[in-house]
Amino acid sequence: MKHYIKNLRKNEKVQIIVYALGTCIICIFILLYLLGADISQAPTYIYSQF
Amino acid sequence: MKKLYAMIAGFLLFVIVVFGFDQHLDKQIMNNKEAVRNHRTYERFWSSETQKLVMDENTLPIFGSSELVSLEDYEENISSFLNSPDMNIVTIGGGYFQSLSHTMELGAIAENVESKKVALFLSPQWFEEMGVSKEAFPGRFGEENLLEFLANDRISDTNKTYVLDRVLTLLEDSSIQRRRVERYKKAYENKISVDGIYMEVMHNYWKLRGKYSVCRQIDEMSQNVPEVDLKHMDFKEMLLVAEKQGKNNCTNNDFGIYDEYWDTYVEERYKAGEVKEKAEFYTDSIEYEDLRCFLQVAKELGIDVILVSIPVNEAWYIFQGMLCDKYYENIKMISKEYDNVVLVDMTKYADEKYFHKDVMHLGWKGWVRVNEALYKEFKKE
Repeated sequence: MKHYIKNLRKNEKVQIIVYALGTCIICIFILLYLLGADISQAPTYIYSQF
Repeated sequence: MKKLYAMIAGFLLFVIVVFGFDQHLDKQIMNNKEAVRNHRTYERFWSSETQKLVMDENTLPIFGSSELVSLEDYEENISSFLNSPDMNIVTIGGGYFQSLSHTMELGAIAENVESKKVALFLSPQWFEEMGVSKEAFPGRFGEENLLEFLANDRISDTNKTYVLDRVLTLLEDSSIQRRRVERYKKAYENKISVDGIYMEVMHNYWKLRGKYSVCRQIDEMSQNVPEVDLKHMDFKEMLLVAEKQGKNNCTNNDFGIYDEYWDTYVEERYKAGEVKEKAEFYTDSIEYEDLRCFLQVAKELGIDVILVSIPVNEAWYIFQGMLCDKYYENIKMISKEYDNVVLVDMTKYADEKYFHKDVMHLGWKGWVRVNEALYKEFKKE
């Protein structure tokens, strides 16, 4: 692995970092959306608190 | 290929970020332990992970329904004042939270109940023929609790299957929730499957979501239970204070109902006159089976249950032609079936003025009596 990374050209390394960070950021955004979204979808007619 | 490696690396980085975020949420909750414990919202009730974080060896979890909502300044209106160095409480439940929801939550949190004692407040209104209603249940159902309940190895398959089937029946009108629970059921029956992976992912998602929802409310948490010395508390003196508060709040009727409630909900029915034909209520209900399931699960988990039988406001109910004696008897009989159950029978106070604050909820004297009984039972070896 170390050898593989060492042999990469600079612009290839940058490309991999961009892809990795991009994937991570997209996953974080999806998670944040899901944490805030009403995915329970319970009917709301007697839903109010207390 | 390079892109694929990069995406895998990105995903691993994401997992590390989520782990860090989870630790941060735990820390937030732990730093605001008392405020979170006293904060009474569905988000906290649904988050079993949060309950686990805020309990200590002196905590008594209390399961109940709407009577647990009012947390008032006890100088004005006595409600729960169980907060002393040797005992505190965490309440779980609001209106329409009944035995089935509580069974799931008990199974979810039991391992962290260090005192090995819980209290369950029973309200006669739970025992309508169909038990908890299909209209109300979906809005009270916490999926994290169900998944934690299913993951608890100490609970028998019989009880897990009973709970799953009941939940599916009650979610008939809530198709999205029902579809998810159907997949949980399939995963429960066959863990090594696509549904098994789905359940695992959802389990972690609900745990994180629960804590996140609670943390978002931390800034609004303002309810504080004053710290008292329960060991040396003069409960007789407290009863006198309660009587005085009751008198101040109930000035327009003889039923011990506070003025605003009387004007809004009761006066009109009172004017219609007393119902002469009396009948027994709450005698047959599926809720009895749900209650038995709760008590069985508690037994399997080695938890002692302080079962608090709360009566209705007898004067008003008799006026309405509704009798509850058979129901009270049923609860007594059920409590005798389990050696891990202690019955705190409050039905002898059904006709005591100011025991209730309205037609069914605990009032000034009721809270004093219940708090005293809970403290004694909690401290009993």
